[in-house]
Amino acid sequence: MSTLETVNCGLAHRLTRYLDWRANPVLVRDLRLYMRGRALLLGYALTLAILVLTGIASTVAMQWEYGGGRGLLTMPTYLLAVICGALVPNLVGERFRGELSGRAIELTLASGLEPARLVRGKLFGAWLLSLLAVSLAMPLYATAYLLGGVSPCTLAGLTGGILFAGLIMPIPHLYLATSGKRSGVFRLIDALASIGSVAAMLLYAPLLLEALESSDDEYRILYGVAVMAAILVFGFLHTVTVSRLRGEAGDREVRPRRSLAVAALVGFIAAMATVYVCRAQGLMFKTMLWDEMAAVAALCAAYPFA
Amino acid sequence: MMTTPPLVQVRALHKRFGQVVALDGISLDLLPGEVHGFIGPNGAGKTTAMRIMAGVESPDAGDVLLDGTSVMQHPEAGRQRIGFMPDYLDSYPGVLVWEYLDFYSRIAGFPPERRMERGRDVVDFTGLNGHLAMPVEGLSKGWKQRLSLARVLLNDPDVLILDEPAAGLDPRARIELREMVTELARHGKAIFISSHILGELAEMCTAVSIIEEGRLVTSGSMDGLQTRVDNGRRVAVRLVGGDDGERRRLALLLAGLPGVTGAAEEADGATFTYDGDDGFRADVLARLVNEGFRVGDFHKSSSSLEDAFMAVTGQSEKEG
Repeated sequence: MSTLETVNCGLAHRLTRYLDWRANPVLVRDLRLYMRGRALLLGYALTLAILVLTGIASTVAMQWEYGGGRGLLTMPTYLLAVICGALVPNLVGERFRGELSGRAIELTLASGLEPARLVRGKLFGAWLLSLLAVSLAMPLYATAYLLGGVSPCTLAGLTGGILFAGLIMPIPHLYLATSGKRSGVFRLIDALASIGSVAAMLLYAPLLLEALESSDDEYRILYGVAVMAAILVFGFLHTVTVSRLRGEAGDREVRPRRSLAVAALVGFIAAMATVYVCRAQGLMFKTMLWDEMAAVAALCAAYPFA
Repeated sequence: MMTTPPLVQVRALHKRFGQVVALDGISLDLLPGEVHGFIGPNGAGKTTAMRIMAGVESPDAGDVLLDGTSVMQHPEAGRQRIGFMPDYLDSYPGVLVWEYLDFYSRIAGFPPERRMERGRDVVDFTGLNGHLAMPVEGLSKGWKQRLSLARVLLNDPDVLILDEPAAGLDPRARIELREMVTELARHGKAIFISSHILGELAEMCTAVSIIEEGRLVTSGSMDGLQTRVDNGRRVAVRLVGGDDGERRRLALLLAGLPGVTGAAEEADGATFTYDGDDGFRADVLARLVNEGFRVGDFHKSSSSLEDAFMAVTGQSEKEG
């Protein structure tokens, strides 16, 4: 073996060892479970089949409007957004809820796992599932590019936008899982959150497409504001989730009421900022879109009280 | 004579759940190498006290000191050195035994080599070698308890808190668990164990605390507890041959003797407690022989843990 090969092997070994050592325990455990389960394989096979079918359908349906590769992108993008931004987060949230109710998390936290690390593991586990789903769409995206009418920047933007949604959308589901409540009102809120996330993704996908392709700045501004609001709102939900788990770990320093107050205030500001900026810019966007965005922001702001 | 300083000091723990007082000023000490039994009726506060000592719950007042360091103020120190085995096994659906142990090893922050080494050690100790590829949910109760113990031992803690580890185990599994606990105590670990099977505890415990309605009724060595109950004045009488009638007659005779404070029929004779000296015992023996009993054995004995428990909790009821 040459010196370079020896150095490379040594570096690779050290890097692998370091990554193995520092890998999030929750992420490692969950990924092992996902990869071993048949449900994942079946799910992805089904996703691939549906992506191909919807791609063909949207190409045929939109050929007269867009032509070329643009038509191939539309429906698969919507589908991917729903999978990564609604379906996967829902499944991850339900699984987390089961772990919490079965007291599985209690010992885990008592063993020294930091609540923030636990939440990060769940989020990245969900994101990796989304990444796998997005990877299934790569052949379709490549075909769309070859058919013409779609730039690489648009494709990269679509991929990035969907992966961004896949990273942050599990947060409200994890938050709701830590609530531990089973009342009728809570179940209604839970159902609304599930439906809301699907609706949000069905609005997000076209907004993302328009923001990437339209020459009008209106959509880009609106998309930017929506992303900012989402980061703020979901950021506070993440804080509250970690705070609740710290309480679960018997931490005497937890101040849940203060966290909730801050979280609610930030959520309110984010929701109002979204509305204000849109109005200030005089944006002429569809009434329904404005109503839906305001409704989603208000729902997010109401989560602390669920 | 130098006395070993306590490894764990529990000081005045108080805990309420709404209107219910779960703990009302519990204080006790754990010494290194000690197997300390913790017994009490259902709902007495055993699990609550153990969960607080393990850092899973916070008390309303009081503290737990580990080598003088407050576990309440420095929970990280507690988590490193205290291992808690609850009365349930946390299982994540679909997780295999080796994955379960690997998960907790990663939480402990072990580098890969140390994970392998500790994993091998605890698996060898608990005998889980043939079960590593099985799903945790598919294990029997006994093997789940072994897995729970293996998880607790990964960190090589100095203190083990075991909440009813023998519950639901068959006799063989209970004996094996008892052997493991005794072995761990021999290695200097302080073990705090609760159980409803008092006979099991009596076999392995060197100290015991009894809790009732959130209050500690007594705490100390096993010998001290038994002496407190019968003051060292307890005699076992074994008859040669003899039927049920004979043993009943023996117990009745003993109970009627002046100076005898209590008598009970046993499988092979009777036991009695008394107020008196060695001379009194000799007189009782002579009386039994005169009455025609064929006495095969007549010796001082100590109360069983069950007798001690009933006596102590019965006293506290009277005082309350």
